[in-house]
Parts: sequence; C-alpha cells; structure tokens
Amino acid sequence: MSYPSRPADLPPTVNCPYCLSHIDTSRARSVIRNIATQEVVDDVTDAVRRRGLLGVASYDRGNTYLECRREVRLDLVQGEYDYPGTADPLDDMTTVVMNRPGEDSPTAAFTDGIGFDDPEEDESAGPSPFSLADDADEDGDGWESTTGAQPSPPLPPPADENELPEPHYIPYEYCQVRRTLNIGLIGTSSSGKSHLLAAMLYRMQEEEERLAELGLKVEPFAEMWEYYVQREDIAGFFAPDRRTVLRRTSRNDPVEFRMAYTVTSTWTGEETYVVSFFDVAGELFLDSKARSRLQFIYGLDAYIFVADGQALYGWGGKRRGLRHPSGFSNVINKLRQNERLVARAKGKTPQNPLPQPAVVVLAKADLLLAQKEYWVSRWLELDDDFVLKTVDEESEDVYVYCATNGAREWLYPVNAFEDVTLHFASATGCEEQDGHYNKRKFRHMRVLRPLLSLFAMTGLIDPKTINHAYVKGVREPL
Amino acid sequence: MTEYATGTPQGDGRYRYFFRDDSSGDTQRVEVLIEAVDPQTAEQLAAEAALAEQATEAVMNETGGRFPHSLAEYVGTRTGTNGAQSTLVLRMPKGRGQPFFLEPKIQQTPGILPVSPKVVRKIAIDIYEALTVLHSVGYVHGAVNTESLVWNRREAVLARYRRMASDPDGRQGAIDVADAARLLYHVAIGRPLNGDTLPPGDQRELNSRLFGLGDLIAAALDQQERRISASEAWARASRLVPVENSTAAATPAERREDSPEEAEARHRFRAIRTRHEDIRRRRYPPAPPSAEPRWTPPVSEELPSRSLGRVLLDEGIGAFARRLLGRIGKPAAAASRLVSGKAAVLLLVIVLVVLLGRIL
Repeated sequence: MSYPSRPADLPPTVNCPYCLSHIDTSRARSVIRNIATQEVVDDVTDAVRRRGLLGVASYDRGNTYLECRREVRLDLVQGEYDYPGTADPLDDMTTVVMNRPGEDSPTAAFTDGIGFDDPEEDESAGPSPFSLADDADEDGDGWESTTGAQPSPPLPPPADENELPEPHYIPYEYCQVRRTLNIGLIGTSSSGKSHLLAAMLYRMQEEEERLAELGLKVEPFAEMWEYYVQREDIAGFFAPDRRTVLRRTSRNDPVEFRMAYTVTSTWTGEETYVVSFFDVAGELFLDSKARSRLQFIYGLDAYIFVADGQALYGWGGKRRGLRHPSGFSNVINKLRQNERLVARAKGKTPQNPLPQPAVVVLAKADLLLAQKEYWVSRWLELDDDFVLKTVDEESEDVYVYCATNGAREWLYPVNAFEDVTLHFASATGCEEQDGHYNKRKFRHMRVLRPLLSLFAMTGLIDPKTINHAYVKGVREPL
Repeated sequence: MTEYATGTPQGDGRYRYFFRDDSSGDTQRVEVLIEAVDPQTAEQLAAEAALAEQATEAVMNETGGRFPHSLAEYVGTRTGTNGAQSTLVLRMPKGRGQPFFLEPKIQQTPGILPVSPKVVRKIAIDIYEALTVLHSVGYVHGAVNTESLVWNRREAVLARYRRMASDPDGRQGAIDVADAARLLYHVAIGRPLNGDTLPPGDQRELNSRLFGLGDLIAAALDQQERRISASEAWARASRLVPVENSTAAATPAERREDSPEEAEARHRFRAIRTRHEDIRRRRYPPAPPSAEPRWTPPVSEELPSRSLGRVLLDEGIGAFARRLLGRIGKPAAAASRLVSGKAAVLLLVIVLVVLLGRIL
C-alpha cells in the first residue's frame, strides 16, 4: 500500500500514547471507527492524505483515528534507545526496531516475553495428542465427521487480556495537538477509580464558568463525551432518578483514553492541550503478566492514585490497617525501574523523586465521614473545589490521617513523586445498595479539587493558586 | 472655620475639604467646599470651578434639570476661610454619615483599604454611572482616582473636575474607563495596580471576592480599541455579585491540636515537601534575573577626555584610580569596584609616603 504523502495536518511522526512508540504518519492508516463497538467501519486514508481531516465527512471527523500497527512504528520507546537489530538489553516494556528479512520498512517487536514464545505453546513441538484435529471434516462434505455440525465461520482469535491490542487506534485530533497531558488513574479493583473519573468529568462539564475563571477553557475531545454518557451504566450513574452503580472495568476493556478534553489555558498563553484520562482495570496493577497492557503508565504526564477508603479496617477511633493492597507500590516500582534503566541507557543519573506530579485521592471518604473521623469531617463537607489555596493544608491532614491510621502504603507516592497533593473525596456521597445509590444522599464531593491541583502542578494553571513553585515548564519563582 | 458645620476638615497639602449642610435647605444633600491653600492652587481651583460649571450646565441641559447622585454639582465659588483665597462649592448627596475624600483618608488611615466587596460594587456602579453621564454630554473627566472620589458612606461621588476636557467625538472616554478600573483595583485589593494590564492571578482573586469584578477590570484595561465603554462598564458593574458566603463555606474549621503521633507525621510530611521543593528548584530553576548593567569607565566619544589630574580634583581618588586602570588597558579591573578601590588606597598611600618624605 503506497500513498502520495503524509496527511497535511499531521506532523511527520506522532507518539502513540498506548505503546509509546513513534508512528510514521506517512504510512499509518486513517480509519473511521464506531466507538460503541470499537470496530473499524471505513478506511479514509486516501481522503485524509489529500485534504487532511477536512477530507472526512463532518459527522465522522470525531470518529477518525490513526492506526498504530507494527509496520508504521519508527523507533524505540520515545526515541530513547537505539539498538537496531538487537533485542533491548534493558527493560521489559520497550519496543525495539527490527528489520525483518525481505522488508524495507522497520517494524517493532516487543521484548518482555511478548516476542519470546512460550515453550509450552511452541507449535514446532506438534499438536498435542489429546487435541482434536483442526479440520474434522474428513470427507469434505461441509459437515464435521465427529459432531455432525456445520462448521462455523472462522472467528478472530480472542484478544489476550494481558497484551496491548494490535493494532490500536489513536484519535486523529489527538495527533494534531502537540501538547498533551496524559493522566492515569492508579488503584486496585473497586477502589473507585471509574466512579471518581465519571464524577470528575461530570463536574468539569458543569463548572465551565468557574474553570474559565481559572483561565481554562475546557471542551470535550471530539465526540468522546457523547459516547461516554451514552454508555448505559454511565447514563444511569448520571441520571438523577436512577443513580446506578458503574459496571466494573474489565481487564479486557481496550487500553484507550476513557475520556479526553481539549483544554485551552490562558495561563500558558492560550495554548491548547489534550488532557486525556486512562482508566484501566485495577487488577492489572497487581498482575505481573499484564505488563504490556500497562505500558501506557510509562508515558503518563501525571498520576491520580485512588485509595479505597473502604479498605481501612479497625474501630474505636483508630484504624488498624488496610484490607487489601493498594497496588501503588507495584506501579511506583515499575516507574522507578524504568526511570533507572532509561537513565542508565542515556548515561544520566536517574531522577529521584520521579519527575511527574501526582495526587493521592482518598476516595469513598464519605464512609469515613459516617464514622465521624475528625480529619475527614474537617474537609469532606466543604464546598471548596475551587478554593485551592488550602490544598497544602489538606494534604498535610490527609498525610497525618493515613500515617496514623495504618494506611502508610497510600503514602508511597508522596516520597516517590516530585510534587504531590493529597485529598479527601467522594464520587457519590453515599454507599451503594443493591446496585443503586440513595438518590437523596447522592452528591459529588470535592472530586474536581484533585484534578485542579494536578493542573496547577503541571503548569496548566498558575501553580501559585496552590502555593507551589518550581513547576516544570513554569520558569517563574514563587 | 465655624462656617462649616459638619465634621473635621480634610486636607492633602494643596487643598482643604469641608462639608456642611446644603445652603438651599435640601436635607438630602450636603455641600463640599474645596479650599485652595496658596495662590497657585487658587488659580487652578478657579479654572476647575469654570470646568465644573460647564459640566453641570451640560448635564442639566441633557437631563432636563436632574443631576445624578454620583456626580458633584457645581454651586459656586466664594472667598475662603482666610478671606483671600478662593473656594469651590459643590453639592452632593448626604449619605449616612460624615463624607470624606478617599485620598486624604487613605493617607491618614492606610488600613481603610481594601474595602468590603459590597462597597467596591457600589463604587463601581457609581463611578461608571458618573462617567457615562459625563461622556454622554461630551466631556471626559481626565482624573478618575482616589483624589477625585468622595464616599458618603452610602454612595461614591466624583467630586473633582480639574482635568475635565471637552470630548465631542468620544475618543478620550476610554482613558476614564481604564482610570476607574485602576481605582477599583486599588480599593478592592488595597494597593495601586502596577502595570497597564491586570495579571491573571489578580483577576481570579478579584473574581473570588466580587464575582465579575476581575473580568470587569480586565475588560476596562484592555487595549484601547477593544476597551469597553463607560456605559457597558456601568451595566457590568450592576451585575457584580459579592461572594463572601461561598468563601466562608469553603474554609475548614480550626484545626485541633495534634497528638504526638500526628505531630510527628505532620513534621515528616513538611520535611518531604521542603526536600522535594528544593529538588524541583534545582530541576526547574527560575529564570535568571536580568543582569544589572555594571559600571564601566566612561569612554566618551563626543567630549574631549579629561586629564587624570582633572579627574582627581573633580571626582576624587576613587574615580582617578578607575580612570587610571582604564587607561593602562585594564577595563575589566576598572569595572570592579574592589580592584579600583584597592588601587585608590595604594595611590593614596604612595601620595602620603611622598609627602611625608618631603616633609621629613
């Protein structure tokens, strides 16, 4: 397949936020996808190369994606390594450029066990003596001899729940905007990540004017918001007369932005960013086999660590510890290891603490409020999403609460990242019962505050609003 | 002085201000007497009186006899308290207490600023109303600031006309609008605005105190061709909303005293935060301050260079040493105050030794 040139409205290369490789836009396909079913419905590569996104019908522009597949990847992770023709000696999540025999274009292969076949599944060893033959239709009459059933058409192989889907798709508009802020939600299963994100996104829609006061003009990215709210569980969660619980995020869900916004910031001189949110199944963070699916965490610009307030146990005014691990340390260890290996490969000193900002959100804090926990009650009832000057005071109190109530594990990010704030929040304001929340008690409590704090720590809004200084890209001292 | 019935007179060094009941018997109004303290200011006051009379007449003609509360009305001039100097008499609403000019009051009681959001809102409405009226009759005020403003504890009144000018085509009105915005910033924040534009942080701060004020001031300080008019500013000022209550609801309760364990955790967190801030300072250092120009030996191309002896006589031993170092081809050394100071001391010692040698 050859095309005259790359799309005029795209740069020569773009970074894939999922596999972190560079994509050659002159070779990548542009496709229309049905977001609801995740299927590719049309190939618009020719039209896009001729006229850019204007070559696509206006109603389909929001559904146009750039396809990231092995053939179009140019180089290594973020261009950081350069070991052509060799397997990456360093890390388990990197992609390495390889030229296959007879191919001119480089392709990327994964190490990390992905490129090395499992000996137990080695096809050269021949089929298992206990397995049925692939084609049981020995007489060729179209019916299987063993079962008498008409063979079904061949199905695509099931997606490996541990692997990053191949190919994967990047929103076209995301590739057009040079500045991106990828935010990942980290936390175990049922910690409340999806609920927190849904509440956060809803509040962002609601608070357009107050965000404008902070110098932010926020617009949902492409048509993501429409599709997001059309999801049945999301619609039920937002509907005042339903307030249903969100479905559990499956580990098979595609590793894609759950939602993204274009954010124009007056603080950064009217620059437009794409702010995207990754929300994947919590069990992936505890599963060492899911490294490929979790590859996106190395390319994130900021982290939201979601601590499950329900995981605390203990009574009598004192919590004793956590019922289950938070998964924070797994992620932080991966990030530190990556930082160390990348630094060593580049002959530099690893950055410690990690050079990204993070927030720790003690979610489901309404359950702690019900237990009359002093530190929670001091903050959770406040309507202070936009009163950011008290962020540091709150962070101290959350730290004190966690440190003195057996939740030190939640404080790992404080030491690990260069700039961290901590928050009490609740996405629902009440506990769920039989798949529903109490409609009268339901409210989003302080869900926007962690996000705004993160915006300040990334320099998207003035860091002085949270009394912080020395933020990357912001050269002005406090 | 007994002529002036109410309150303590104010003064700013050039004028004295007195307030008294309205001589026409209107109980809703008071008169403000502006008295010049010397002949020079008396001349200026006479000119101002003429302008005030013109403005009053123009407004009266335009409105059919009604005069806005936010603008002081010309009454006349008369002899001052010392019998020799002129006094300008203006009329303004009575309000709820002793009126005062803002600038002398700020000088006397600096803690009076910032004023409450409700007062800022009232000042904004009144001042832009006054400007709307003045602009509509073809005049610009020219000096909207704390010296021109009287607060009668209920309303703000624009009560000086000293720089008023005719502006039939309305081109100069934008200056008044921006001056009024600076005045509002001053009373709302408590300090004058530095620069010509409103910093985003201040805009947010103002909006958080009085919803819409930051936006109003930003729009009033915009580039002249995009700046809002006085009437638009007046309309926007009427829509300002104080947000005192929402701030109160967003403030956490007083923190209880920490237990020893909690105090230790808090101490630990602060230590981490400080350490990380130091790390960030090293990673993302602030922009270096702009280098101050250092002193260099003057090398004038236009003027004939002076002799070393003349420099010694005119500027002393220090300048002499610097000039000497410059001449012997060490401009860098001459630029350093330390080196040139040492050279000066050395020269002084040599001169003293020579003199002592001659004496002995």
